[in-house]
Order: sequence, then structure tokens, then C-alpha cells
Amino acid sequence: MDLDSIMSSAYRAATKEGPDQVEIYGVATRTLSLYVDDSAVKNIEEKIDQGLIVRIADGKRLGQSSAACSTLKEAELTARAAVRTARLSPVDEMFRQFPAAGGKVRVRPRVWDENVAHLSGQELVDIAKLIVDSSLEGDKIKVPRGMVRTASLESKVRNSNGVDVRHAGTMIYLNFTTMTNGAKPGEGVESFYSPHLSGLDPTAIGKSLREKAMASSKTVAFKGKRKGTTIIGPDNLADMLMSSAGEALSAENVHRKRSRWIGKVGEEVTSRSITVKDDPSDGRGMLSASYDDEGVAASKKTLVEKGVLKSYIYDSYNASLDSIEPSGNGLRRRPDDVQGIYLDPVGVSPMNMVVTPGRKSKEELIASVDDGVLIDRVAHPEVNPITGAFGLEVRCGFIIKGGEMVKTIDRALLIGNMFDALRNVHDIASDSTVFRSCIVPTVSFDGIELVGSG
Amino acid sequence: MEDLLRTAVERMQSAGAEFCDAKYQLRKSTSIRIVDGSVRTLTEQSLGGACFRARVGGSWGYATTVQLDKKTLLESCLQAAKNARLGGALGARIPDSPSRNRQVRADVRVHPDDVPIEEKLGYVVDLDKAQKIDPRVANSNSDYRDEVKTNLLVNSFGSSLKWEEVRTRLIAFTIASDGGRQEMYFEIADGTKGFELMKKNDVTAMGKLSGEEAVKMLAAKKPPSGYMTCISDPKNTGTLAHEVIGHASEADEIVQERSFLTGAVGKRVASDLITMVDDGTIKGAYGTIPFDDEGTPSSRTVIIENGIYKGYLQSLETAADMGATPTGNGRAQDFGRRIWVRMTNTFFDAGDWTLEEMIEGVKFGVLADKSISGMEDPVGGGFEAKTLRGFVIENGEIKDMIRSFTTTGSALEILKTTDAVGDHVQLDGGMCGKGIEDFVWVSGGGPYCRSKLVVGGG
Repeated sequence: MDLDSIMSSAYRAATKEGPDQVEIYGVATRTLSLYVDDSAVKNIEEKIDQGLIVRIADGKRLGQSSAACSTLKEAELTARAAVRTARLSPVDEMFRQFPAAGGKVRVRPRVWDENVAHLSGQELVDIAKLIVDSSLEGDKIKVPRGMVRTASLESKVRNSNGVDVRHAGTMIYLNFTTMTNGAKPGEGVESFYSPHLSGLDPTAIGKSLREKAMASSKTVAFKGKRKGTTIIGPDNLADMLMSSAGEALSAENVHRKRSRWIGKVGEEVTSRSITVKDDPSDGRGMLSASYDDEGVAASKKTLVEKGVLKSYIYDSYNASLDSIEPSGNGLRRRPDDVQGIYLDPVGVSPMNMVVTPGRKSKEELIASVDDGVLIDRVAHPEVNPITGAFGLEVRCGFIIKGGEMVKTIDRALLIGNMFDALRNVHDIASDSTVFRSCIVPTVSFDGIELVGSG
Repeated sequence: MEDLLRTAVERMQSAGAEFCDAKYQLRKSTSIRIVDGSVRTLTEQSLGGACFRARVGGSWGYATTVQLDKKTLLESCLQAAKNARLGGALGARIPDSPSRNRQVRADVRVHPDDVPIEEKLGYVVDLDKAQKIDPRVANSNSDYRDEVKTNLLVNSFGSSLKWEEVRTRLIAFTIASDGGRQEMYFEIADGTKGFELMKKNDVTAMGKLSGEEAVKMLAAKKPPSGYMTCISDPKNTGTLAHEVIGHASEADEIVQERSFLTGAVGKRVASDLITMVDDGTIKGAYGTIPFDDEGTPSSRTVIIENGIYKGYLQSLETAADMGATPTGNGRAQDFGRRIWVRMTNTFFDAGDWTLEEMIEGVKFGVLADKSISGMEDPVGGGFEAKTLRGFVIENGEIKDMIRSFTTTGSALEILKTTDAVGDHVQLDGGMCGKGIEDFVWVSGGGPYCRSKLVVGGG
């Protein structure tokens, strides 16, 4: 049964029960994935998914139910379960209403690529083999693991206030690792995110994987402690920014008193060199769309301008608490996977967080550092979202002396606080890379500590 | 459905599958989230679908769908066989195994299906209220989730298995603020248990503890940094076991020669105080499963015994590749995801030290209290473990509380420095990803352990 039919069935069934407001979010997806194990194509997977989440407001009582749905009966059951949970729920005095209709389309990002939507298994095999072949170098390097995931998604939001919108998008996400053979193996990791196939260069990815693994095989354990300029590239910085600034910008966290930027609109929260926008009009963004997942029209917004906090981001619930219009940041979708989106509750998040790049090339930025470290790979670049503190295991980094990378290191902890680091930005490079729902450049910071053993 | 799955297996075999299985899974759950006294989420979820998996040579083809009509299912199974033929990898043939025909109901006292949602809600309301013990508690969060997962698996061994898994989890998560600074604390109760978990648990005490400790955290100091003695609490010991050795013992990493433990069987990898086990059969533990997602019964695997490395965790495929016996560790997040070799309940076994004895012997170090997360490094043999908080130890005495920090180091070096292992094992549940995806429910733990690590926090 198609998405429209099951959404209509759920809407009718919910309305029949007589609640004040009904909202249906429906999504249908196709995923085609390929896994490489040990330089060979190990798995090819095709996944067809479709489901609903029904939100009900019965007065100020809220309930919801979600399900994988392929029949009208399942849709009806999901709708009735949502009504039942709403009627069992205590009153939420803060709730006003689901979004109202009438928001004009402000952005129309190009996020659908027919080439991705109709990619065949054989074409996926060809891409993977090109990456693998470009990575290998005799018997020195292998590709122990790799994954290419392509997906297409159609989502719709319909509510009893007149919202009725549709979004369609595609995505390609890949993540490969290479490894040198020998007693002290080095590892290289590369990722790629795009709604489009056109930007994908498998040969360049393979070459980078080879170079990274070779560099990583030369690491020595870092000893002692140092504090100098620290350069962090987009692949690590994106997650560090999302788990600090991304969380601090969320109106949900502001209202729950767990944002580090409560009451700081109009104040300087970062170095003046930092400007952050949420730009859903950018066709490179993995979550860019004309509407958010509550059906609110998305728009381009400046969040931090030359270091000054300009505004928070809002879903409909949190906007109503401040008696303002929602900013189109109520999201269910994820940047790297489309399966089971209908199970996820609405969260407040930037749709496409863009940090304005600087003027120097990455190479010029490195050359300008007298005493520092370039971080290539950490275990997992997450930051404590409440405090901003981080301690990240460095798996590959380069010590810089006089603008030259003189030593490759590992076995160290990178220690700091991301909110403090954003106030101590040394320089910003001119590169820009899509990583999950961010587009960020390479940035250098002062004040971050590196600690090793001994 | 069982007949349809059997037909699908026959069709995949006819289409060239050397091994294949067909699975239907239904995951039903109730989730409640209360934030600052308001119910933010009260939801019932249902995720049902089928997965067909075929193997040709060394390649797998998967096809999954939520459309459960006969036509779609039988088309999907052929797509799985087609995808398997596309791969072209070489690999060992999965050896034949005796067929199994069993039905297993979850061993719980109070099945979540038998508890009205109002009653579940009542406990969560109490948990949330209890966190507000001080004006400095800025934000209280209370999460409840129960899940009933029903699996039906048919494979080309002739097996037909139906089993149920029930999990319940309750989390209190408190943010405290003194106006300028914010800190967090949490308490978790979980298990492969039904609603008896809630009835036996004093939710008011749990919420109060989370609130009190969050407020205490406001006075926590910056952690010291450097290479030093660290006593890990059972949660952090569990993270060490899981991240340092557990992931590197997953046999898919061994087959690819990606793990630093490749060829380690019979070698000393830790001090003789260390014994480490993965056991999917422990009653009530969060990672317990009757069968893995390939239909192999779960089992107890000794990974390290008195410091000597013993063996790996196996799926059907890796066992075939290595000529070993499957250990029941082939697991997937859900029917729509790939099966990997995964842990279940992984822990260091008990020694004979008390915590007090361990602390007495430390001139300067830290006590790590409550694990947040960890990340494995099978290739490099490192690891990263994030800790919510800790305490400085000076001259055998507990001193200042310190805020969150991270520990790291070389896996093999750390375990060789372990010089004291506590006398009581505790397991705590959590989620484990293969890298940053494909999350499965697991538990980890052990006793208090004293080792030398690199420590640091912002």
C-alpha cells in the first residue's frame, strides 16, 4: 500500500476518535547498501521501508504512536494507539498547538538525484571496487572494511491545522578504512556525504585512504604534555560543533536550562572570526529541505555572526513557549541513514549548520603554525553537551614545528572545553567539507592540551 | 508466516544460495519521557518486517521489507539471492548444522503487555519528582522503555525457531546548575526483565540519588592529567573489558587480520589476575539472548583466563572461516540491518581485593566513577573510555571529586599493569555499536580494578 493511502487511513481513523489536533508524519524509503570486507564485496543489501508516526493533541494532552506500516489496518491501529496514549497522558500546560498552515516556501534546495535513486547493485559494486583498487598498493595496504549506502526518501507531513507538505531527497554516504600490513599497522579512514552522485570521486577517496594509512603506520606514542595551536579538520570538528554549539543553540535545551548559551542572545559567545548559519537552501546539505519534519517552512538563518549569538533554533513546541514562530528546525531525519525514521521523535537541530570559511588554504594555515599539532583522527569526536568538556584519544596526529609537520603521533589525549575553544579560535581555513549535517572548514584553536604517557 | 519463510528459503536455495535464512521480527515498545514534570513523549512503537539472507561463495545478499504480503516476500527473497551473486567474494562454505526446532518465551515475572500504560506512567512521574531535591536541580529527565521482540527464523539447515526477548530500562538524568556552571548525573536500571524491574526498584530513591549527586558535581574539580594509577568502578571496568579486549575478540576482526589479537590464542595478554568472559546466558542481564540472530544458541565464551588469551567470539561465517564452533554472537540491530559478530554480556571475573585495600595502596591516582561511553581500536590496540566523574586518591585516601574525564592507553600494556581485582562483579546494560552504527543491547562490567592509564579531562 502506498504512503498516501496509509497516511489518509491513519488520519481518518484518528479524526474519527475526536481529538482536537492530529498530525501524521509518513515516510517511504529505499536503501541500497554495499559492504566491503577484506578488500572484497561481502554484502549487498536492498531495504524497503515505510512507516508512520501519529501525534495527537487532545486538549493539552499529547500522545503518539509509530509503526512500520504497509496496510490500511496497521495505519488505523497506529492512529488509535496515538489517541489512546494522548488520553492517558497528563495535561501539558505548556503545549499550544501543532504548526499552522500558511508558511510560504522560502528555500528550494536541490537534494534529489535520479542517479542515486535508481542506482543498481552492479553500479554500487563498480564504485566500491574503484575505491578499493585505488587504495591498494601491492601487499602493503588492504581494505579491511568499507560501506557505501545510497538511499531515497519521500516524507510527508499532514495535520489538522492545514499543513500538507512533501519532501523528497536522496543521499549517498560512504565510510572506508584502509590498513597497512605489518607489525605496527596504520589505519586510514575516509567518509563522504552528499545528496548527489556527481561529487563522488572514488579514485581520490582511494588515494587519500592509502596516504592516510601509510602516514598512520609511522606514528609514535606521544610522551608528556603540551599546549599550543591545535588544528582540527572538518571530519572531527563537525561532530564536536554539533555536540556543543548545536546543543547550545537548541531552544529545547535553553528552556530546560541545559544550554551553555542561555540568555546570551546579542552577546559574544565565540571568537569574532566565527560565523555560523543554518542553511537549508544549500543543496550539499544532507538534511536540507523546504520544510522541516513538522511541516514548517525552513529558512536560512544566521545563528552566530562574528562571534555574537543571534538566535536559537526552534521546533513548534519550543517556539510556542516563547510565543514566536517556529524556525523550521523540528527534525526526525538523520544525515546518514533513512531506516526507521518514523520511530524517532522530533528533535531540535540545525538542518545544515555551515561555518563560514576563512581565506587561507589548509596548507597555508598549517604553514603559519610555529608550534602546534594537526589532528587527523580521534577515537570518537564527541563533546560533553552539558559542559563542553572533551578528552579525545588521538589515533593519528602530526606535530608541527615552524610550519612543517615533523612527527606523526598517537596514544595521546586531546583535552579541552569546546565552548572555551570556540572563544580561542586561532585561524580558519578556506576549505569546506560536508560531514553529517554540517559544512565546516579546518579550524585552528589555542589553549587545547595534548597529554601522553610518560 | 512460518510457511512463507520456509518457501522463501527453498526459493533462495533454488536460486543458488549455498546457505540462507529468512526471518520475521516484530519489535513492540512503550516509551515514556518526562522532562521537568511534563510528559514529552508517551508513545507506543511497532516495528515489524522480514529479512532474507543468502550466501553465494563468500558474499551475502540481503533483502528486507516491511511489506508482508506473499508476493512481496517471495520477490524479496529472490532479490537477496541476486544480491549475493553480485558480490563475487570467495569464502568458506558454512558447514551443515543439525536443525533446531524450538519456541522460547521470555522468562519474565510481569510481562510488559500485562501492565496498563497508566501504571508505567505513574512510576516515571515519581522518578521525575524525586530528582527535584534542591533548587540547583535545573532540569530533570526520566525515561522508561520496555520492548518485546518476537523473532521467527527459518534457515537452510532446516531449523525453525521462534523466540521472544523482553527488555525494560529506566533512566534518571539530572542537570544541576549554580548559575554559571552546569553538571549532570544519571542513574540507570535495566535488564532482560519485565515490569518486575520497576516494582523491585525504589524509583523515589533512584531519582533522589540522581538529583543529589548532580548537585554535588557542581563542586567537582578539574581532573588531573597524565599517566597514573586508576581504579575503575564496575561500570568503567566493563567499558575497559568491552572496548579494550571485547571488540578486538570479535572474530570478523580476526578473519580480516584487523585485530591486534590475531594469533593471540595461548599467549599472555594480561596479568594473571585477569579472567574475562562473554556470556549471553546470564539470567536477567541486558545482553542476554536465547539465540543470536542466526539461530545459534547463546553461550559462555572464556576470552582470557588468568591472563592467557583463550578464544574469539564467532558467527556462523567466521566459525566457518576459522574452522571453529559458532558461539552465538552473530547479532543485528534489527531485521533491517547486517549481522556482525557482537558481544552479549562481557565482563572481567572477580578477584579477591576489597575497594578499601585497593585505595590504601595508591600514592596518587584517580577513582573512575560511572562510565559514559567508550570506543574500540582493534587495529591500533588502543581504546578510549569516558567517565562521568571520579575522585582523586592521595596517599591511600579519597580526596576531591573531579568532573568528567577520559582514560586511554595501549590495551595490552594496561591489562599487564592491573595489580588488583575486586571481589564483586556487577553488570550494567548499554548499547554497543560496530563503529558508530548497528547498535545492539549488551551489558558489561566486572569488579573494581586497579591499573595504570593515561587520564585527562577538560
